[in-house]
Amino acid sequence: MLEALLKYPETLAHWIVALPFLSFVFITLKLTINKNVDPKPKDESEKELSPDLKKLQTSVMQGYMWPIIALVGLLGFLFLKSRLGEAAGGISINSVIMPVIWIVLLVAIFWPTNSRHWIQKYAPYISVGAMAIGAIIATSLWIKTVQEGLYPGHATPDTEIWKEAWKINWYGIGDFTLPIGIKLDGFAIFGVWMVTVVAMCIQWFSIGYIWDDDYGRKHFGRYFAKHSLFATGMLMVVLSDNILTFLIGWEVMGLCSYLLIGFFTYKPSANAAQIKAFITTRIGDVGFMLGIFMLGLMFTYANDPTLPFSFDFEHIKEVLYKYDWAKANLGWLPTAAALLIFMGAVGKSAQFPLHVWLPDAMEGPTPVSALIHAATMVAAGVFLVVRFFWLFEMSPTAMLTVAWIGAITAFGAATIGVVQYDIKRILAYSTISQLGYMMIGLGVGSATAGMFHLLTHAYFKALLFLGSGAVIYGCRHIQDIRYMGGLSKRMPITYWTFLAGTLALAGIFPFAGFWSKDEILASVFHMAQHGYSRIVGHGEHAESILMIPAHWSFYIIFILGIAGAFLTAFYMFRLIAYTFLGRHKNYEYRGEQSPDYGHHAHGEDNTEAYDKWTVPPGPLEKEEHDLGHPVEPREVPPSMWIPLVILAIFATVYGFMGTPLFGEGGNLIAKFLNHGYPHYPELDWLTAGLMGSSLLIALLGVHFGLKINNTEAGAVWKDNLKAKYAGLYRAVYNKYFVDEFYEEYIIQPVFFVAQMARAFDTYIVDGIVNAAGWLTYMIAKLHGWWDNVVIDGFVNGLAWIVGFFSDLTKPIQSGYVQNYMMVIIIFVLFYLLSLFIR
Amino acid sequence: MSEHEKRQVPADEGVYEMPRTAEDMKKELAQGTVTMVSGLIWTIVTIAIVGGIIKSFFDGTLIAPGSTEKSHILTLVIFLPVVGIFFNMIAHGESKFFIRLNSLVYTILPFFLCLVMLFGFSIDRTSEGLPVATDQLGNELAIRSDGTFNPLPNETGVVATYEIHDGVYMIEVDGELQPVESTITKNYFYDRSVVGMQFEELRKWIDVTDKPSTEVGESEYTIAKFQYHLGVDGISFPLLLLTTLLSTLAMIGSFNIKMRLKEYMCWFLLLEVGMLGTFTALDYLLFYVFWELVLVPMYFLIGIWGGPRKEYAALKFFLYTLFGSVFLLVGIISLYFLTGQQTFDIIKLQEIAPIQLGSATMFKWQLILFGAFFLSFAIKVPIFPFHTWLPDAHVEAPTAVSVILAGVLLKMGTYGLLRMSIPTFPEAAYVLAPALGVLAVINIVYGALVAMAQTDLKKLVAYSSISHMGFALLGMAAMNKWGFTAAQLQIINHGIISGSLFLLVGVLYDRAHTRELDAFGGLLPQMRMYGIVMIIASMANLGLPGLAGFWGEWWSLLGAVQNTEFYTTGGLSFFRILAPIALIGIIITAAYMLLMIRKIFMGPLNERWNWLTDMDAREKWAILPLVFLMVFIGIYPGPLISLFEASTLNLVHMVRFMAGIPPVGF
Repeated sequence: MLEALLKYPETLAHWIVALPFLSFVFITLKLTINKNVDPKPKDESEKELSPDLKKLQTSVMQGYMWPIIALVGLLGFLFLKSRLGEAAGGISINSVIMPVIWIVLLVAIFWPTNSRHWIQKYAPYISVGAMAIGAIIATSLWIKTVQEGLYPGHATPDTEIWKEAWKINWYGIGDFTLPIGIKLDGFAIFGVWMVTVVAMCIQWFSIGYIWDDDYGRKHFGRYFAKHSLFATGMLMVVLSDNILTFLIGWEVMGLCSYLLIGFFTYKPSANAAQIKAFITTRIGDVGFMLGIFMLGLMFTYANDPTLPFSFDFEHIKEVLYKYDWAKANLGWLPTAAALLIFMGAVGKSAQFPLHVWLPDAMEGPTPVSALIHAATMVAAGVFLVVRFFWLFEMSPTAMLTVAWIGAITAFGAATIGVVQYDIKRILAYSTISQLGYMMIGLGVGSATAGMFHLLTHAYFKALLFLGSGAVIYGCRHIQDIRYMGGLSKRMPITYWTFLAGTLALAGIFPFAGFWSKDEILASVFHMAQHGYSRIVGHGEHAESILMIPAHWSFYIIFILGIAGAFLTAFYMFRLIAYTFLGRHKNYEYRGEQSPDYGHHAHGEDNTEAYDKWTVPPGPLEKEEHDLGHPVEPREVPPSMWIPLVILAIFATVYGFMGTPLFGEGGNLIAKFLNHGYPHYPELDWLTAGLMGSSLLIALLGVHFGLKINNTEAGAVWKDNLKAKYAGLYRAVYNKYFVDEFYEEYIIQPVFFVAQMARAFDTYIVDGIVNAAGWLTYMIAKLHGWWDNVVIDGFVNGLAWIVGFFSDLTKPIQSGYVQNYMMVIIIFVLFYLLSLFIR
Repeated sequence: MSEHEKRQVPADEGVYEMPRTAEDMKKELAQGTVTMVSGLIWTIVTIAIVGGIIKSFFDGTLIAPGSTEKSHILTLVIFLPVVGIFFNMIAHGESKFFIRLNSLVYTILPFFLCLVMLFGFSIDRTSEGLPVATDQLGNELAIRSDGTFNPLPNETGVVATYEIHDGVYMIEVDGELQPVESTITKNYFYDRSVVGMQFEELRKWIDVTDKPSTEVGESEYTIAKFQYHLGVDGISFPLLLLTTLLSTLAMIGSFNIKMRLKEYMCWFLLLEVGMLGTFTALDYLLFYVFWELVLVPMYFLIGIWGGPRKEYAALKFFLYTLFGSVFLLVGIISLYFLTGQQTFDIIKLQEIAPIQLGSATMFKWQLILFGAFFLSFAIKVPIFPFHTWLPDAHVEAPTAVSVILAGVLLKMGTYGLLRMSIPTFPEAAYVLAPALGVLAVINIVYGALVAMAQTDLKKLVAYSSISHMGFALLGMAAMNKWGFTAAQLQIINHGIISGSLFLLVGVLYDRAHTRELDAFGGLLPQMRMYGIVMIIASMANLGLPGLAGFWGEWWSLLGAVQNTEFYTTGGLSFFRILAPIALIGIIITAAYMLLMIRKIFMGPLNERWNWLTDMDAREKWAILPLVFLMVFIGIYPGPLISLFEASTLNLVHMVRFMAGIPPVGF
């Protein structure tokens, strides 16, 4: 195992995905199946039972679900076993491991003496452990990549080193099969390293944060199960070699973000936010799905139609990239496909106009915001564009759309971030803005820069969010920065790590964000000068085709980017000034004197009694709260600051991987994230000048941010500005009224149409049915009347007429002999009379 | 209250019990006697039946491969519930335990038989697909279709030698030559690679004959031949599994029926007979009998055990469906006269009708007959604008019946389209495909919109059924392998998902006696298990990848996009415009399912419901198998697809061939 880890980490790559998933399954089943068994017996009668008997009783009581789950497990095992036999390459080791895993899992799940308490306590160990193992594998993958200097993946298909990666046939329809597997190229390896490390740190941090909350402590296991499932989804996205599993991971993340935003189920605002997040991203996903269908459509044109379509990234690219769409007069196809796929990215990465869900998603627990809404999930959209970069390359329209949407988002979100007061919302808008930067990078043709910024941003934004979580923890769940201040003395570790993240985000040399953001801006400048050329073929046969000619309007993107960088530095240091510097203002808002005026702040260590390395037990100091006496902010325990420190190290040094100082495209980022794609700016006077100027701009932002928000004169100046531009301030403060616009012009009309449809269904469609029924009934009635009155009347009438006449003639046949005799006599008399008359 | 405290309650504060009179005791004695006697008979007969099944399984008459006369597993599957009806009838109405047990056993037995068909024991096959048998001495032989065989090498590579005398293979046993007796020791099971019918049963039923007046001879000739013809293939076998599974779970779900239990169970079992018969009958008359047989129990089940407007709903359901059935009957009879063959066999007519009605002059008849068949099936599916019976029937029906309605009865419509309309009138189906596509998209979007405006939980689920059946229809309209696979997938998955959703609605309704969405709120903490299961089912319903609902939608949309055969200009075609519109339905579905979850489970707890309890063991047993299937099919749909793959692909090829269109790849 160790040898495999060191020499052939790719054979273990799929365990990076599998382990979080298994931990999710394990925790969930354990929580669902096992009952809450109180460890202490309640009354005398239960004490009498011997421990063995008690155990037996418990197991029988819990065991009513056994047969079905055991059967299910057995069936699943049999299926897997039979399927694994057919799997290709490198699976033999797994067919040994799989049954063991299954058996261990089943035994552990059904181990009857383990109650729910057990899993509540140990869930974080399981999920953090899974992520840690994943991080180790990912790190060794990265080390191998760097050491051997290989270009895994498509650039040099003759390299044999990655062939051991996991690949199976999923299922098929007719002659169409779905091979799925792990793709290990530069993007995937750097991505998976980032995701595992960040997710591990965040889960580690969450232990303390969630335990601190009353509701969270009750749902401890559930929280970590969802976290693990989320990590599974993201890792699937990063490692997939085909669109279908990519899409599944993508949607699993959507589900988990839905579940985790609404983790506090009792909060109506969280409920609203979770639905908003799911639906908004779903709108993007519809575009994404259509884009995939569009690719299938392109396949029919570019290829022999009898050849089966494939969802494999490599295969699609191979077939579609070579085809000359413009010549076939089908230039709109790649454009449409790219724009539709970009729609998915817009939804997931919260770009304008689908950015509205992300700020609201801050209703979830802070570590969730860190994981989902800062570091990883939102980055999936950017990653999608990176994966399909060749498609965007084929269409100038699509690339310009990406760039402009990115620019608008980067600048617009930064302006909103300037005026917010909620610590998490500021970071949320900053996230949107930074994602905009990544999109700019991709839109101007530098996948490398976009991906690099994605990676650095993940580290420092996760750090910032966790830092804000630490601040919120320290301030007992106050989130408004106006109630904070002076925390630098009270929470020093948090302060210094947060500062590292802030400097990285603001783009100050030599922190990570400086390198990546600068690279994006340099790429924009490069495009504005030279336009964008696509390079077809590699090596000797490479030729470059000018796709987008240079144009002055690209300088606007550049200016927006620079302005956004200034604003970023400004609002981040505004945040620092409000939160960490100055005096602690919570006292003043409560009408008390801040201790900062008088004596030195007494930073008591509330965490002294806790087990520092694992879980801080116990509730908040509720009594103090109930007293109405403000509590002093506290520093976080080690289980929370260690992840901060790890991330701070990354935020500080990660950027050096991409520094152009080492020259000749020889830096790691360019080497591994650049294959197939052109343009990596090398160090020349222009680049150096750009670097210097962007650093200058950022420093200006820092200066103003501190000056305005941390000095009396600045405060006065700020108030004057607010009063002067009150209308503008209101518009920005209310996020340019985008939410209101959607509510008014999209959501309400849809509900109205639904009501109309319902009315139509009830009164028209069903009305016709009921009317038909009624009409039949009336016709039947009419017919009944006709039958009763006319037809039967005719018959009855005939009978009546006959009866009437018979009534008339009836008296003749009276049965009396006298009458008959009289008639006979009369007729005889008539006869005789007639004789006489004649 | 603990056991100890209960004992402290004084007797006179407890419930006052009437002293038992002599009459009561007599009644109890009678009940006891009846139960004992019927129970005894029941035990004997049930053991005999199960024993008979096991015996005939091993002597090869339960499933007799290749013999349509000997095999009788399908008959058993269909008519086993009738035995249950019989025992319910002789049971005493008050012995509820016996009635429940009996009904459960006789719904589980067909399910069990279906599982035997599915998993059974496979026979060994050689690489060429020949079945492997053994002779007296244990040597292996590969049996060829003409009855001769190839000896196979054993482990050491030695091939046994046989002498042939007069064409008979002889083998030397204990020093003397004997003819070879080969035995296939293992039974057949449902073979996924076979295109045609399996487990076929064919018996004479009604022969209408006449003596020819012109001929001198005495021989009769047939005017019409009605046969007792059963069989399953990939289109019907998954439905058979679904029906038996859902019947079993719905039976568990209906154990809480208090009123007129005996009668309820009788109708329920009869309903199962009708459904199973519909899916297996291969003769038009037989099919029609079973098709109509379903209506009667359903009418009573809704009309007696339903909600406040039960009479209206039952009558509407019955009359509406009967209205469609009339067209079906007329269609069948016209088909008989137009083809001019003396048969009502569905399979034979599938071969004959497309040719007979294929000429230009007869094509209008194809259209007319397709229309007549389609009308009947469209009402059952239901397709807009014939859907309004469904919400009423669903809302008023008791829980278990709603499950059957959504899970099975709707599938009878799509089954009819796949089994009869499309293969028998392929050209008409092909010509009308765009119209079907339009109807499908209307179903999807319109159903979703109306569902969004509902305030009644059950009605919401009912309309979402309408919306989802649209995807099955869209798949059929796409007329390619993706589409047909998707249609069949969607049919099965929708049965599983909507079945569980209706069971879940029933769980809540049984406790709260209301289904108004706005009445609830914040139930998740106290109904944890229920909430989790409901969220999983809702996610499957809204088509989350990784759960069952996704695959049907995905492949049907993909099939639609791949269809370029109608009104194509440039890269656009008719179906490519339909697909994005259908995708709008997906978004709306997500919206209303999530709003539903929010209104019931999220937010602060509505104190009115603080006494609600989580699902009990019975409800879990009824729902969790479906949840497992949802997850399993979502992660790995391969086994399900392989069940019907051969049949649907064959159907696609046949339809395209008959309609004269070349086959297409992706």
